[in-house]
Parts: sequence; structure tokens; C-alpha cells
Amino acid sequence: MLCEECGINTANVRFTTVMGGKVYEKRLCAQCLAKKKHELAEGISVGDLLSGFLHESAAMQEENLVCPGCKMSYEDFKRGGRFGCARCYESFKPYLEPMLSKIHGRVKHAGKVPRAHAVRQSDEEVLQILKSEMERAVEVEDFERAAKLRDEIKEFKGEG
Amino acid sequence: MAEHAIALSSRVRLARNYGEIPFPAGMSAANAARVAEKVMGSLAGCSGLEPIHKVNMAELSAVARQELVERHMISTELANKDEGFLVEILNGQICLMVNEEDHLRIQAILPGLELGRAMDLANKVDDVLEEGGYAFDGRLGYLTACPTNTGTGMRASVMLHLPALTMLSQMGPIIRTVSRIGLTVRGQYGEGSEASGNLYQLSNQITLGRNESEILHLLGESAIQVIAKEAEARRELLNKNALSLEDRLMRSYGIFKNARRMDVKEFMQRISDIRLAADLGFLDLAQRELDTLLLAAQPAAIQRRLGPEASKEEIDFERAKLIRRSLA
Repeated sequence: MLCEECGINTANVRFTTVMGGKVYEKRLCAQCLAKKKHELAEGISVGDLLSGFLHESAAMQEENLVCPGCKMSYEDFKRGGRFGCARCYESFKPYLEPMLSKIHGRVKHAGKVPRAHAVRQSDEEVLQILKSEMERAVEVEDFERAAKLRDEIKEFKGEG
Repeated sequence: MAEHAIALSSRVRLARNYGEIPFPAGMSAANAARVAEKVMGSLAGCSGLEPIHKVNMAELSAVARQELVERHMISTELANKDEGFLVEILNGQICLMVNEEDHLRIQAILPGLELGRAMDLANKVDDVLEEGGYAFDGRLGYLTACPTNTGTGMRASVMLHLPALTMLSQMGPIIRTVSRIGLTVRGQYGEGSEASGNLYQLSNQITLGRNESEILHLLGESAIQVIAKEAEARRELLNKNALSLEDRLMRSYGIFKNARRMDVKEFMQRISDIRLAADLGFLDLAQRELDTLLLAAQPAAIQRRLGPEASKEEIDFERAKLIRRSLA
């Protein structure tokens, strides 16, 4: 069996950690064991903490996703605990929410929004309103108004 | 007991990334340059936020970088990155780290307990830099290299001097209590650092699902409570045996005035004693002088003055000299 840390050398030791009352076991090679011991002496690393969280969330399925943006694989992310680019959030989506929920307790942003994004959101809202008005017009068979709304939507999308 | 005597400084740090460029860890030199160009372009076009100072890590010696870490202007992570740089804005109240773990780390640092004002300053710079097109998701918020920063990307902290709580062994329970409400206590240099000189950083742990004001409110209120607990612990120490406390603290003052050699570990402990002695009125010393000495006597600060070949022993001699001069 290969070392679960580096995936290169043969694993010849069993390394057990206890975190939050749970026992995690890994099979490691001698080099990675030495590294782990050093990390423990220095205090626990963020990467370790994260892979603790990740182990649980990833237990559901082990599909090694790769981010098309930066070519980082989910395995790479698990090892380092850092995303390679903004697209990784989309690429590793199946694993993301359970992990964020473990870290933060919640998964929906509630804070500041950049102006550019706020504008886009309200654009979407406007579009939604126009669409539902058009649907209502069709329902009441006011086709003239529906056609007018359809043109407005087209124009709006064209501008956006 | 004045709050500002216990809360030494407040800091708000916003982690931001540009959407189209890979995060710094796997970034090419060309992309690092693109980030630099975007940042400097945005700042140049904004009156009032002209950078007063830009420092490239690649141009600094290891000691000079370490000195910036000691002054809390940059993180150890930035100090280790050749493509990283620091931009000082608004009279040094903003230290903007570029190409650290995230493209941008906008840090506002103010003396005392001033979280609200620090947030306003950081926001001011953030509002200008966001024109570069941030990595942002409607559901997850600001997208950061580390998932522990996702959401607001905000880490706010208060640096607290807590000698009495430490003496009475009450820091353990406090650390456990704040961790239950999404806060954390660390040493003075942040993540992974040990609390030396009874200096602790109280900061938020959670960045997703709560907005900035909620987080700052929670942190500010908790800081006020910890400060009150420290004040209470100081009263307790005074009530128990004021004279023996005064004796213990003033011995450190005696050593400060007379020592000919002092290592940094001892320095941190003694300066904490002296700060407490001044807070309790045993000594007439301005807090500002102690703050200046605290930075000037750190290892890299002295090493940089003495030159790279100075030995640890020479640094310890120089530290004692510096202390005597500053108390004269």
C-alpha cells in the first residue's frame, strides 16, 4: 500500500490521531511520519485540521475531481488545504458545502457584496419580474402586452 | 483601569482575490505582475489613497522582512514570498499585502479598541480595489484560497495585554469560552504563535454565514468582557497583597534599568511587568514609550541596526543598552 500522505512511497507505519473525539488512522511512509511528528511538535497545522474535516465529508464518494481552471485535483486540495483558483469552488462543489458547514456552521454568505455583483443581482431580479409579467399577460390572453414585454426582455438581455 | 491600557491595538483584515487570476500559491510571475498592475492602477486613480510606500519582498533582506513581521505590518507568509509586496496607505494605517495567500490582504491597524473605525478604513480601500473584479459568489461570498476565510474574508482581532488573568491561571477557561462562540485566542503574531509577554490576540474564527457588523459586534463585546475580567483580576491581585505585587513588578523595572544583557524571552516578560506597573500607578511611564520599546527591542529590529554578522550575544547586549537608554 502507498503512503496516504505523499502517495509515492510505500506505507510502512500506522499513524493515529484523535480529533474531536474521533480517531483518524493513516498509513504513512517513514518520511511523512517524521514530517507529521514535527508538525505535532509545532502544533497542529491548518492542512491537518482541514483534512480531518475533509475525511468525513469525502467519505460519501471518492471521485478525484480536477479543476479545469488551475488543474488542481481534489486530492491536491485535501493535502494542502488551499484552493488553486476561484473556479475550484465550482469544481469541488460536491465536497464543498459539508466542509464549509463543518468549519463555519453555516454555508450562506451574509456579508458585504461588491458593487458589480449587487448590480448583476438586481438585473436578474428585474428580468425575473419582466418574465413573470409576461407569463401573466399570456395567461390573461393579453398578447399585445406579452409581445411588448418579450421585446423588453430581449432588449434588456441585449444591454446586459 | 482604562480600556486602552489593556487593548493595545485593533485590526481588521479582508482577504480578496481577483476572479480571473489563479490564487498566489500556483501563480506564474506574469500573473503576479498582473495582480500588481491592477492594485497599483486602482490606487493611483483614487485621491486620498495614494500609496505612501511600496516595499517588494524580493528587494529586502531576510532580517528586514522579519522586522516587518515584528511590527505586525506583514505576515510570516508574505515574508517568505519573493513575488509578494506591501503597500502602506493612509499614513500607515492600512498595510496592504499583495500576493500573500490571497491576492489581496487589506489590513487596517489602529491603536486601542477601535474595531469599527478599522473596518471603515479597510472598507474604504476595499471599495476602490473591487473595480479589479473580485472572485465572488452570490451564495458563498468572497472566494479565498483557504476555506477558513470564505464568505466575508474578514478576520478581525484585538491585541490584549492580560498579565493578571495569566498570573491567576484564568486564560484556559477564557480560551474555551470564546471558542464556543466562534472566536479564538492566539499569540501576538497570530496563527501558530505562542503568547509571549502576556499578549494575546482575540479574533473571529467564523467568516461565513454572519455579516461583518455581527462579527465585529460579537468580537468587540467579547473583548470588553475579557478586558473587564482582566481589570477584575488586577483588583484581586491588589487586594490579596498589593505590596508584594508592587515588589515583584518593580524588580523587573530594576532589572530593566540595570541589566547589561537580556534575551528576547526575558524582555517580553519584564516589559509586561513594567506595563502592568505603569497601569497600576506604581510607575510613571507613558504607554507610548513602552509600545515603541516593544518594537525596537525585537530581534530583527536590533539585528538590522547591528548588521547581519551580529551574534545573538551582541544582540542581547544591544537590547539591554536600548532599554536603559529608553528609560533614562
